[in-house]
Parts: sequence; structure tokens; C-alpha cells
Amino acid sequence: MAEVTQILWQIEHGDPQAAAALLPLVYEELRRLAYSKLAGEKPGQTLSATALVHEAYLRLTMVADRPAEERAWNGRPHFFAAAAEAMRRILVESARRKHSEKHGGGRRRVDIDGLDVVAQTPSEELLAIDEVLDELAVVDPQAAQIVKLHFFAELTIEEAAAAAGTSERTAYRDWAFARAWLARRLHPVES
Amino acid sequence: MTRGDLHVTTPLPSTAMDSSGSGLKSIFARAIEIADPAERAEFLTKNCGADDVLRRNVDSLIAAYENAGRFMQSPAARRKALAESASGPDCGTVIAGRYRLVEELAEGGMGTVWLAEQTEPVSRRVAIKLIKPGMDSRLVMSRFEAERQALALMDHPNIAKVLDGGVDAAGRPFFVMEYVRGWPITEYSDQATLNLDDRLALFVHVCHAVQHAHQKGILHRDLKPSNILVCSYDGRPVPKVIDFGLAKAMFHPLGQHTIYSAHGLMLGTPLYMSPEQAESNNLDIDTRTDVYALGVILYELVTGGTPLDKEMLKDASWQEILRLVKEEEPCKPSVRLSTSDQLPRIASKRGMQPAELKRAVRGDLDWIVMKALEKDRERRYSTAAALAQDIERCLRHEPVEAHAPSAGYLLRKFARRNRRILTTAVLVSLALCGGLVLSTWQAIRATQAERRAEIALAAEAEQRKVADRQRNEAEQRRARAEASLQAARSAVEDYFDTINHSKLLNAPESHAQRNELLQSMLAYYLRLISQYGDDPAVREDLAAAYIRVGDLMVSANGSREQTVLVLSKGAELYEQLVRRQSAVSQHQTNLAIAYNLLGSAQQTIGQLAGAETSYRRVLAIEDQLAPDLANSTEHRLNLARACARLCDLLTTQVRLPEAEIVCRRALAIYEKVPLENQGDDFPGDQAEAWYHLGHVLRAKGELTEAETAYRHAIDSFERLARGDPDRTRFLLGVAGGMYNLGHVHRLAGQRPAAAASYQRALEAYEKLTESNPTVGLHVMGVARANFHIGLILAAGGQQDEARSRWNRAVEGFESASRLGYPSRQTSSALAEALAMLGRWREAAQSCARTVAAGDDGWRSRCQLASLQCAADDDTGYQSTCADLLRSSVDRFAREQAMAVTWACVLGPLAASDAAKVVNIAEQAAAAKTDVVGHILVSIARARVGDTEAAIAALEAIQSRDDVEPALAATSSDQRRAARLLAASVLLAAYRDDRADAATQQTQLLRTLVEQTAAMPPEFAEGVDRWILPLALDLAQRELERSPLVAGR
Repeated sequence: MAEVTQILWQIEHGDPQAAAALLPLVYEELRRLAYSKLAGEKPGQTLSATALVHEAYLRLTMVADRPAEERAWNGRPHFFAAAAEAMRRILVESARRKHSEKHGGGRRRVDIDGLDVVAQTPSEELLAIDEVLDELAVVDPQAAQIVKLHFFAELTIEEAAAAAGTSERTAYRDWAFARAWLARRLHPVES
Repeated sequence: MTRGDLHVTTPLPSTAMDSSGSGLKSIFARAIEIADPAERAEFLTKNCGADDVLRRNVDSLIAAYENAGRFMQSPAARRKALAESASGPDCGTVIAGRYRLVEELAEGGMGTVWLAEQTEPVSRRVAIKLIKPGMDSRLVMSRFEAERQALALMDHPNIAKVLDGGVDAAGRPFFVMEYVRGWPITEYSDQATLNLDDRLALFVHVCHAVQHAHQKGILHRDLKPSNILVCSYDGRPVPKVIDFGLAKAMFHPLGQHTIYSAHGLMLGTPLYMSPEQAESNNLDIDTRTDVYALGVILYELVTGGTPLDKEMLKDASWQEILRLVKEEEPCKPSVRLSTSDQLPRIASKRGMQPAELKRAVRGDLDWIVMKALEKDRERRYSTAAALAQDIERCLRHEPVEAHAPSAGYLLRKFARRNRRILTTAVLVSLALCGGLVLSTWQAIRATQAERRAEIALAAEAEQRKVADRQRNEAEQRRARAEASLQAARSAVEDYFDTINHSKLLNAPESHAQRNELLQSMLAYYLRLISQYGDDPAVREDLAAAYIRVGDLMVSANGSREQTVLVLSKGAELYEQLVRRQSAVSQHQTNLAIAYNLLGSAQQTIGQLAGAETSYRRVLAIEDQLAPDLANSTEHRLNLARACARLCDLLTTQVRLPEAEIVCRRALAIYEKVPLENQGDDFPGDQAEAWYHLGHVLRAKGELTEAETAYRHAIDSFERLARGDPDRTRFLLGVAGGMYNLGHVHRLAGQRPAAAASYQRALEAYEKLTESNPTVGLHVMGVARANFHIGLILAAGGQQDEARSRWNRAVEGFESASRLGYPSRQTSSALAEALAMLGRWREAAQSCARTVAAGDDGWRSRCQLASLQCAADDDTGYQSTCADLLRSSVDRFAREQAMAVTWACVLGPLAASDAAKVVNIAEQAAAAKTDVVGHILVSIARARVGDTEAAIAALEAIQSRDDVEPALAATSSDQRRAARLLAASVLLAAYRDDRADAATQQTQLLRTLVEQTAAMPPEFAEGVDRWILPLALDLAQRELERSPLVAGR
């Protein structure tokens, strides 16, 4: 736990190596958290990525002798950035597996997802988005970052703005732009 | 980014036109905010200008935006997406080439469990646990490999064997186990409506299985109902413990990594986690950890719920969960059942009536469960087998090992848990104090023995009930009570003061009661101390409590070794406080008080060096103080007290000049204390200092000055005793002063004055004894006075009267010993009195007791040797002498050399020892004028067979002018004794060819014996008090035995 706090501190203080160390830790934690949450999940309960990310943050930066409110410090954006990237990878891996199942052999399991009320982005689309997100990152890295935070990590635009270090207005514009750009890239409108 | 990059990565013409991402974005973002199409077109025309590429780019984006619909508007994360990122393989998958998955049995936090068919080397059904990715498989496997051999050794019908382990094609760890199709033990028990006894019987099997694994060195670490499956064989339920050894592989118990890896994984199971597992960085897990988990499962089997409520943990943070595991005290199973609104349902699951179930659980089963669940594992069952045995006893209705905790234990436990919760302990201890005070006064008013028996009986009978009630009360009151431990402490202190300073209790007849009460107080203080632990905030309190306990132990005549230990702890704590807060003068004062008490306790048990260090520490503190502090009366008085005691100590070590200096320092301090600052103890302390000075001066031979000092002391004590006739201390001061004054007179040869002083001492002691016949010290005083009066009478030729006094003294010393006076002192005094009566054998036995009582000084050993010699105990004598000669090295102090020589020339010794004696004797007789020394050398030579040299030496002494008058004048008992001995020893040494000399010596010896027997001795101090009677006795025997004399 203290390890993450330490890394965040190092990032804050300009250690470029530190950010690289953060991602795997956050990635691991998110996955573990997801397993345990899903294992204990009751029907009707929804599991959101943002809840996972927030909980991961609290757990990873939990310092035994400090109350929670003191942990809300400047390292937060760096953490969310890493969490967003981690969440993107996790979701993409899942989507890939699902995709390959459809095309490859293997026994199909009953898809209980069908019972869910909340509609979800189909896995093929998720993979496609992921693929062209890198292109967007070249055109407009800031917009791509907002996509990771808002779409994959499910932070609100306000939270994403804070995590990305921009104003909310800019974040809204980035999001609109990114969504339009990705839509045009993936589903060109016949004109 | 550059345009070049764009060309490489994005082949689409449209993106190639993103000449400026931000420009494009900005125009796009503002455009979509304009709802009116005409207005928007106008905006675009204006902002894109002639840049057609940009314009087309923006237009297409706007079109895409408007047609996006629900694109990216649903959450990316699917409910199962995260889990699926790691979901295991499906049916039919073959793991490690030999296990074909058949059916998924369960899914847990760590992974999924599958029923699988093993194809080789044998064909069988197994259970496979596939671990979800996310763990470091390499680490998991290496830990598993480390435990694999031990796992293979387990062979128990109630343990599902772990058969194999490895890594699958995807690199994920898997474990293969014996396949058990069963229900978790709790579910099975409920479904089968097993009654309490059946549940216990089933559980006993589980305990034995766990014990078996423990004996093979395997801990489970993750025992919970889902790991204890019950299957039915021939209609009989058989429990099987699964997953043995896996937890160790899964959770590496090292470092921080575990804690957060533990989060996700352990979140489901803190209900069964032991307090020691909840400790951060805990490396120390043992069999008792599994015992704890068994306790939780037992609790659940009995009550239907876990000790920590699942509901309570649901919303708790991880930290809070850990705290609950470590601190939350569960209520007893019977209490849980009583307070549960589910009781009817729970009882029906056990096929019992609610009242029947409660009754069955209350008592033994409660204590068994609670003992297994102790937070402190030292107090748990040490093994699963012990737990099983107690349950079996309970099933057979035999007394169980577990029992209701004592009140004191409860106090400790509450204190340990939380200072806030101490309130409960306080309530308990206040309640107890109240009860105790009440019984105190009853005890005093009534005839003691009867009452004491009554109280003891009541206490014993009530103990269990009281403990039980207290526990329940404590549980209820925990939340609302708000007092502090200080309240309890001050209650205890008030009580202490009452006991210690009450005139009623200090009256001699209440002595036994007072001691008893002080002992009980002592137990209280020790409990209070044990509650506090190392909390720095209460360090000072703790130090004070130690000192108070030490003080109590002194008053209560507690174990002296224990007293020294307790006081040392107090002194040590004050040392720390003084170092940390050197400005706080109270610490210095307390430190001095602590060391004064410690020193005197050390002195009592003969730790003289330690005592000296303690007293000198007080002196050193004073020197370090700022002048104003050093001059405060309190400090001066502490210093004076230390000086006076140090003086006493140095006097017994015969370090007289030093002793005199410190004693006079004490007196000088007392003299300067202003009248208004003289506290209660002052006059007594001052008188005692005079008393000590008297001792020093007497030992120095300054008898006149000694008499003055003693008279000062006696006058002060008499005045004080007149003012406060209850104060035994003053009366004792008067008696002791008189007694010592008698010594001074006797040594000064003033027999009538000595007799008068001893007589007054005797009367004073007798008065004390009359009012309180059971105090050893008083009885001792009477006996000592009689003994010395006997000496004076003997010196005056009144042998019969003397012997009658000595007989009374013997009786007195014996009864003092029976009254508990330290045996070291009673047996030494008794030995002297018996020696004066010529009862050598008994005297030797008594003296041997002195030595056995821990007085390993050479003085008592010399006494013992001489008495053994006189008692004809040759073996004892030779061994005591050998001891003396072994422990003594080359360089004795002269006094010691003389004493050892005296002891060792009395009888024949082994040749090597006798040779040593010659050396020591020569060393002792280094001065030419030392007549006795030279006579002793002569005897020693005769003993080693060097008769010629012995005779020559003796003749040389006798021929000296300055010697003969001294010898003839019989002014010294030692000289006469030496001559007697020399004559008798030489007599034995003469051979036939020296018949003339022998006859001459025989004649001389006869004369000496006659003279000595007629002339009463002038008795010296200490060791050689009975040397003359002894020498006389030995000489007479020699005379009768001598063949040369007999032959004539």
C-alpha cells in the first residue's frame, strides 16, 4: 500500500521512472478487486469501473496511521491516469477473449450478461475503439486521455478533468471531440 | 506531434488534414454548441476561412457527432467483463496433459474448483483448484513446492489429500486434491438438524484431523466451514478438511505486499481470521492460529453465527475490520443465543427447544469456546487435540479445563484491549475494593480467625458466579462507562493508606490482619501494574505504583527477593524519567525515595554491594541537583536517610571510617532542618542516625563517644515514645539503644553498668512482648538481653545464674524462629547460646542452619567449624575447614586470616589442608608482637607433624620478656585459649623420646585448665566468644586422652 503512495510521491516530485512502476500495481489491484467484488456480488447489484477505481485508490494508498481525508492529495491525477490505462487493458483483454470465443471453438457458456439491465458496449466495438484510440492519441493526446478516464475508467467528466489536470469545460469539449472523431473513424458517415 | 507522424500512422486522407488538432477541436467544439444550422454555417465559414480541408474535416466530425447515437454512451465495463478477463477454461479442457475438466464445482475468491478426471498414472476423479491469474504464479508454485513433501506425509481419514500441483499452459497455478462431494460443515449440520452433541462429536473429528496435520508440520491458515466438507458414508457424516497447505502457497506472509494482496482475497474471510493474522507484518503464525479458526467454527456450529457479526463487517473499512478482529471481544455463545431474535429458528435447526439449547451451552461449553477464541493465543488451547479433549470431557459431563476467567484476568484483558474500555475494569475493581473494605472492618471488629475463614469460604464459593456476572455486566456497561483507571488507582491508594496508617490496624494485636490485608492490596497493585504495560503516558504512575508495591511488600513482610525486584523496576523507571525530564524535581525526589527503599530491601536479603550502590546513587543525585533543589528539605531528608543507612551497611562490613563520615553527614543534615519542615518521620530518623553512629564508634573502640551517641538516641526515642506510646518503633528504639549501651559498658569492663543497661533493655523488650507476644523481633530482643546478662553473670562467677539466663535465651531464640523471624539470625544467636551452655552438637546444628540459610560469610563458617570440632563431628569439621580453605585465597584480611586459622587449628585436618593452614597462620602472625598469632603458627606446625619447629616456636615466644607478663596476666581470652590449645596439641604431638617435655607440658596444661576454669572469661565479641570455653573443653579432653600422661 505504502508502495503506491511512495510512487505517487515520486511522480509528484518529478521522477520519470516512477510512473512506469505504478501501472502494473494498479492493474493488479483492479483485477483483484474485480474478482472479489464479482465473487461476492448479489443479483441486481451493479458493478461499475469507477467504483473499482475509487476503491483501488483507497486501498492502494491506504496508510495505516492517516485518516482517509488526509489521503486526498495531489498524487490523485497520476493514479487515475494509471487506473484508466489499466482498466482499458483489462476490458480490452476481456473483449478479445469474448471475440475469439465467438470465432473459435470451445464450449459456450450461458451468457448471463443477457440478464443485465444496463446496456453495454459490445466487445467488438470496444476492441475497435481501443485500436483507433492510439491514432487519436497521436492527433490529440489530451482528448485520448479523457476517453480513457471517462470511457474505460468511467470517471465522470468532472473527475476526468481533475485527473487530467484540465478545466471541466475543456474536458467536455475533449470528450465531444474524441467521440466524434472515433465515430467518424469507425463508422464513416456516407455523405 | 508533426505532420510526418500523422502520415505514417494514419493513412486516412481526412485525418491527414488535421493540420491543427487544437484548431480543429476548438472550431468543432464551439460549432456543436451552436444549435441553429444557419448560425453554425456562418460560424464555420468565418473560422475556417479559405481552408477547405479544415472545413471538410470539421463538417465530417459534426456529422459523425450528430449520427453517433449511443456510440460510446454505454459503460465500457460489462458486469462480467472484469471477471472474464481471467475466466478459466471450459469443460473438456485438459490441464497439464492428464486432468480433464468435467464440471465446475465452485467459484471462490481465489479461483474455480472443478471436478476433473485424471487419466494417468491412475484413472480417478479429483478436484482441481484453478487459481485465477493475478497472482505471481512463480511465487505461488515455489511456496507450494516447499510444502509439498510435508503435504504428502499427511494421511488422515478426515483430511482431503493434496495430490498434485502445477502450472497450466496459460501459466496459471492449479492444485489437485482428493475429490470430496460434501457440504460445508455448518450447512450440513443445519440441514441434517444435528443436535448439539452430534455437532460436537463431528467437530471433534475435525480437531483431530487438524491436530494430525499440525503434527506433520502443516498449518491450514484458512480454516472455515467451506473448507470443512461433510459427506455421508454409509449414513454416517464424515468431515473432510480440504485445502490444507494451500493458503501458505497463496498468501505469502511477508511484508506489505501481502497486506494488499490479502485485501481482495481475504475480504470474504476475516470472520475466521485470528487476531495475530490481523496484525500487520505478521510473520508469526502457529498452530494456535488454526485453533482460533476452529473456535470460530465451533461458535458457529453452536450459535448459528460467527463471533464477529457478518453484518458488522459489511460496511467496515479494511482497517476497521482488522481492528475488530484484534479487539472486538465476542460475547459468550449462551449470551449470543439469549440475545438473538433467531433463537427459535437456531434451536429448531438443532432439534432442540430454545431454553434447552441455552441451558446446554451455558457454562462449560461457553468456556471451551471462549478459551479457543482468546485474543491472546497464550491463553488459548495450545493444540487442536487439547480443544478436542475438552469437548469430549464436556460430552461426558466431566470437569473441563476451560473455566470462567478470574476477576483479575478480566481486569487485565479489558485493559489490554483499550484504555477507553478500561472503564469496565474500573467499575469492577471499584466494586471489589468496596467489598474488600467492608470485609476489612468486619475482620477487625470480630474475632479474627472465624471471620477470615468465613470470608475465604464465601470468596471461593462466589468466585465463579462473580466472574460470570462481572463479565456480563462488563459487556453491558462497556459503552457507557467513562471513568479512568486513575479513579481505580486512587481508590486502591486510599484503601492502602487506610490500612497502613490506621491506628487500629497498626495496633500490635492487629498485626496479622494488617499483613493479610496488605498482601491482598499488594495483589491489587500488581494487577493494576500489569494492566498498564508500556504506555509512556502512565510511566510515572507505573513507577509510583512499583514503589508503593515495594513499600507494601516491606510492610507486609512479603518475599524479600520479590520486593527487591519490584523496587528495582520502580527505580529504573524513575531513572528514565529523570533522564527525560531532568527539570522535574519531583522525579529526583522520587528516585531518591525509590533507592532508599531498594537499598534497605537489598540489605535485608544480603545484597550488600547492591544496597551500597543504591544508597550511593541517592548521594549522587543530590550532588547533581541545582542548589535550590538540593537545599529543599525533602531532598535533604532523603539524603540523610541514605547516609544513615549507608553507615549501617558500612558498619556491618567493618568499613568504619567511611561509615562514620556518612553518619556524621546525616546528623549534620538533620541538625539543619528547620523545625517547621520536620515531618512525622523526622525525629525518629534523627534518633536512628545517632543510634547508627553509636554502632560505628563502638566498633571502632571509641567507647565513650559511642556511649554518648547511644544516649542521644535513647533520649530521643524515650521522648518520642512518651508523646506517642503507640509507636512501636520508638519503644524498640529505646530497647535497642539500651541493649547496645550494655555492649559498650561490657566492652569497657564496666560490669555493673552493663548489667543495668541489659536489664533495662530486657524490661523494654518484655513490655513490648507482653502487649504483642507474637512479634519475632520483640521475642528476639528479650532473648538477646538474657543472653548478655548471662555473660555478665558468668564473668562475675555466677555460673548457675548465667546458665539459667542462657537457657531462657535458647528458648527465646527458638520461639522467635517459630514466629517467623529470619532463621539466619535466630539460628546464629541460638548457636552462640548453646555453645555457652556447652551443648556443642546442637550448637553446631543451629550454626549449620545459619550457613544453609544463605549466610555464606566466612564468619559463620568459622563458627561452624569450631562448633563441629567441639561436637566431635570430625567429618563435618574437616569438610567445613576444607570449604573455608578453598574459598579463601592467599590474601586474607588479617581479621579473616586469624579467624580461619583459629577455626582450622582446632582439630586435625587432611594433610594438604593442614599445610595451607600453616601458611595462613604465618600470614596472620606477621607482626612479631602478635603472641596469639605465633602460638597459632606453632599449633599449625604441630598439626602437620613438624613437632620440632612447633616446640621451638612456642618456646621462643615464652622466652620473650615482653610476652610472659602478657600471657600470665590472662588479659585476653584468645591468649589463654591459644595457650591451652597449644599445650594440648603439643602434648599429643610429643613422642616417647621427649617424655620430659611432655611431662612439663602436661603440668603446664593442668595448671592452665585449673586457672581458666576458675577464672571467668571476659568474653570478646563475635566469632571467638566461645573460644575459651571451647579450648578449655578440648584441652581437658586431650589431657584425659594423652597416652603419655596415662602411661605415667
